[in-house]
Amino acid sequence: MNVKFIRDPFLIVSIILLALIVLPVVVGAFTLPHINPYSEAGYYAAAPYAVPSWATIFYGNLPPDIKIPSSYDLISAKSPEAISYWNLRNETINGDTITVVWNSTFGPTGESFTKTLATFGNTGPGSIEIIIQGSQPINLTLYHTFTYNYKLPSTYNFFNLQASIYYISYGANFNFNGYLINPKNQTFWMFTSGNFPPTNPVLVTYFHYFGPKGWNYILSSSSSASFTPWITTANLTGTQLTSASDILLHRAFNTTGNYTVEYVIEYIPSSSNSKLIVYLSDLYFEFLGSRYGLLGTDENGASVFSEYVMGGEFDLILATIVGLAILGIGAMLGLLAGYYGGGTDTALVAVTDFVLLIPGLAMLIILMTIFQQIFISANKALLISVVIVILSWPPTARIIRGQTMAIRSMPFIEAARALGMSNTQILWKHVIRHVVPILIAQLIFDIPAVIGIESALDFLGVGILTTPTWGNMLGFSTHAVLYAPYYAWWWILPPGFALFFLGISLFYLGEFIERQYGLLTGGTH
Amino acid sequence: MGFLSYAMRRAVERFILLLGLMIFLWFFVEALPQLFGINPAEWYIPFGMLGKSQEFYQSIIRSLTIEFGFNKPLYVQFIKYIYNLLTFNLGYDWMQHEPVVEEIMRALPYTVVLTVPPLIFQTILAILLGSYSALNRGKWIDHLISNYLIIQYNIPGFFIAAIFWVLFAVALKTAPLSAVAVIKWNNIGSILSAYWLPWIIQTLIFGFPNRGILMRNTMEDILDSDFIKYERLAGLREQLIRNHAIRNSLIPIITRTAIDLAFILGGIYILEYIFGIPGMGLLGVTAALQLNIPLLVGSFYVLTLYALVILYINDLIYPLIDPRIKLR
Repeated sequence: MNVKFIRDPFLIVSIILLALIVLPVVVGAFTLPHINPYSEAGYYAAAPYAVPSWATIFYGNLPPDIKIPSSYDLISAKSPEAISYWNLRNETINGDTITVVWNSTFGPTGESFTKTLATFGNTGPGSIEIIIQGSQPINLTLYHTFTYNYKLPSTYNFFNLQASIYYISYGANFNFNGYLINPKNQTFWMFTSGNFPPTNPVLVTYFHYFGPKGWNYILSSSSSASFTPWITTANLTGTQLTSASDILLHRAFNTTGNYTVEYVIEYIPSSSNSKLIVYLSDLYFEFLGSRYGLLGTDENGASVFSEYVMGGEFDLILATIVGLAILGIGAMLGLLAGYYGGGTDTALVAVTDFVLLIPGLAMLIILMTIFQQIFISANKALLISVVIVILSWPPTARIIRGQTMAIRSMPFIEAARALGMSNTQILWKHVIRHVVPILIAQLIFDIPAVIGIESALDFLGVGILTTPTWGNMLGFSTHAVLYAPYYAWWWILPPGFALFFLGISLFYLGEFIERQYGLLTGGTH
Repeated sequence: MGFLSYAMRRAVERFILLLGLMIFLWFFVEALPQLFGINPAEWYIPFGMLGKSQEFYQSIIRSLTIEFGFNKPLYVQFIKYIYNLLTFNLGYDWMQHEPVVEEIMRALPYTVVLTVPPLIFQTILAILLGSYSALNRGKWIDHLISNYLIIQYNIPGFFIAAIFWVLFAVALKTAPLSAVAVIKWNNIGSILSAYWLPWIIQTLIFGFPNRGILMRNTMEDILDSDFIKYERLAGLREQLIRNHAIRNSLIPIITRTAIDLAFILGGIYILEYIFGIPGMGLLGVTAALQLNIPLLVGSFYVLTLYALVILYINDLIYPLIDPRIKLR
């Protein structure tokens, strides 16, 4: 048997294909964080429609994600290195003393913000504590420099500048501003905020006011450029205003070289013993790049690889469970009908004839639609499973019935009967043992069939839409292809090829098992 | 047993199946929701009307409840339901404001044009490939064809359709993005330009690999059978022997094609959905997405009735093609 095993090229190829499809799913399922890529928490791993990292061999030196700072500990100020990262130190400017300490226990909580992969807030204990004391108005600058030497950005890139801030003021006003400065020394004013409104009435619209209590979260994005103070400095004409985001991005990133991210605290004391304590955390700039990971990103900038992994995990688990359920029902009824014949058999044949007559996908669509209305709160995956089982057990039952009938008429069964074994004993000891190979083969045939049906439902939008499956990935990507750069091939091909390869490899595997055991009934395909 | 009594018997059997199907439909669409305390009338009105005043909404629900008889006992509803289906009174589509039958009649031609030509192409192609493969049994060309057919069988139809659509409609722009805007029945050019790609895909995906493999395996058996061996021994020309073999192998293919013809309308959801062909498949999918129950059930009923009729015709023709079969 071993020699045969090695000599079967199709078996080898199908096992390799299967591994190619399933291994990334298994590895990914254990290593990736389980964040749903179809929810906001999974968006913006990179810019929308970022190509896979390795695809830069086709598309040149596309910009990757640029994260300032790049580690979570520095972003959330969990370590004192955050102070030097932003070039802060204890100093005296114009007679005002500035004291910078790392506060390990006090940090952002209770902020209202939307978590995506590109935003950080409510990061808990850990912040930079800045104490400014004195009578002179001064500006305190936090900055960090990075190098941009990639292709210039495309339409889909954008950048975010964000911060969490908490303050205690003793007779001092302050403004807190964020800037991006490009190598040509052009400054882009991303946000303005503080504890008193600006004197310039134009700026009031763009001003973020901090109340005296609690942490404040600021997020400014080039993708919503019309809400940044930059727009007041940009001299845009009426038609340009509609594409302000694009203009901001391309004016800011118009060359390669060193860029600077800058936060400025403008300290405005009202008396000689004024004092301001500012706690900063989540200081973070991100340029969302055009290349990402193994399989790029989708229209929301969510990682396609994590969609592939979660979709595959869901599909494979669902198909195995549904396949086992189909097999269980089919085997039980098939064995009984095939062995005992008579009324059971007639009933089974009638029911299976009936179900085989129904156009499967059409009935599935109807049942899904109705069940979703009746059992509104039920789990959609469960509904799909139940409906697929209802409509799919008959063919399996028929095949097992045929196999059982063939075994029943074999001489050794007669011998067993002559020896005085009861029907139940024969069924358990002999028949089942001979049916097991076909059961295994049938399970292997059923799994891709179930995945195919489920994927078709998701593809059409009738099935699961809120968590990834290979079917809805294919559906969403097909819709997006009209607008996506390069037809988003990294998004549309993986789920399609996964379904395709899974189908063929399991088919050949099932065939192999059937051949190994020289099954009595002919093939079903 | 005469042909007539055979035909009658099969008719009764098919009608029982139809009845079973209607009971199935009625149970899931009308009885089950009521057992769970939902008035199906709520499903029959468009969401747009929910925005209007509560009184207006209630009056519509009331009139629908009376119209469909949801206030009557279940068995009365059942009889009425069966009667309506049998008389093609498929109800009224409240979203498009027209009777369901009219929508179905409008959609049907698109689907027929989509499905019939590929059925012919693919049958011819399957016979050619299958017989060629069987005649060259064991050679590399046989392996190539057989494995191609197996692989073709296992590619998900929606993947092929999506990829072809992206390639030819979106990238190369040789087919319309959506056929609905293009097709004009009085213009053959417009029909060809909208349909050529779906035809190719339908030819490849629907039933073609099954029939090809069936043809190959049947032909293989027939080439091994005694009468072919005898013909060979008798020294008949090889061409003649092959013709005999092919003709005898055609019987299961014809049966299979007829069965496929019966279910062909059930397999076109994805193709019509992707290519925007406003036929029965797209009708069904949009009905499901909009929760348009009368349309959904109506189109499904027509599909199944059609399948039953074709299967019955198949029953009648089968003994004529294959005289070996005994009338049962």
